[in-house]
Amino acid sequence: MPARADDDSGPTWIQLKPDQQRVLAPLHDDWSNLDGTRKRKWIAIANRYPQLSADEQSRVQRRMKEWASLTPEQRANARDFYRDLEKLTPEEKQTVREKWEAYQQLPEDKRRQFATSAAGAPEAGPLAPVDSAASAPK
Amino acid sequence: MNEEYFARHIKERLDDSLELGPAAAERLRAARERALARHRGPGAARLVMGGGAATLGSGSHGSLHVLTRIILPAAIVLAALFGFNEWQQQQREALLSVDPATAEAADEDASVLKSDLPLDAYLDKGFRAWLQSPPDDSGNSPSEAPSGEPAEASSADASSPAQQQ
Repeated sequence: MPARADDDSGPTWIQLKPDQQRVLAPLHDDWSNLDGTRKRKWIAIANRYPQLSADEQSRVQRRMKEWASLTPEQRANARDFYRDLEKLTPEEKQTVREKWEAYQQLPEDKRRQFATSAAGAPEAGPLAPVDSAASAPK
Repeated sequence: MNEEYFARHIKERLDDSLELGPAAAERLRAARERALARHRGPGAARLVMGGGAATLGSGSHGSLHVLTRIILPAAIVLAALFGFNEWQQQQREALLSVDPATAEAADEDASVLKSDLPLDAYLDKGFRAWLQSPPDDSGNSPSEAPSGEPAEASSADASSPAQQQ
């Protein structure tokens, strides 16, 4: 008896467990617009939620709605960036956080210039490409 | 006062004169049995006829009635409700279950969501391009703040995280 029909719309809000509803509360209004796969992703996130630290839980709660409202391409880009960052050591990741602060202080036109160049590039390259490292100025 | 005295007097007289023969006593007993059997109805009569079940028969008609008309249907309804509830629970569990591939993808999303790097940073293509760019390309090294304040990174990783690995 397959619980998932071909037109997989996933569980409705009221079919969620109370704990899941509590975690996913920011998505309550948008829940019915999500497809089955995305709903199950959120369910998986809600299931892991208790294992997160208080800070992490807070960040997840704050970002949940925004993440759900992103386009698939935006989410794919963010995941891609995350995978690149995962290759870095914890110290390097810390540096990236500091560089984000620095980047935000760049003049607007400068940042736009980088955004434009990134948009024009066929595909964003890895953060640590071998040839890039070789050509990096000393 | 007179009435009480009169009633007691009659009772004493009756008790003194009550001498029933065995035949009369037997007729009275049989009549009493018939009256009771009629009162209980045909089902009870059968049970009484059954001999050993007489004790059961005296009160079993009501018990049997309660069993067949109330307890049994109620038990069936309860069993059906329990079964339906179990089935619903299984359906719900199946609906809420997450396959491993989805769980893995969800882990990645959760990592972005819980990260201490702001979501805007993940979404800013310019930032990523800036991190990847050599410092002499931009004139603003990703490793240095625009104010000229050096980042804490050493000169070995002064260009970008790209050079840190």
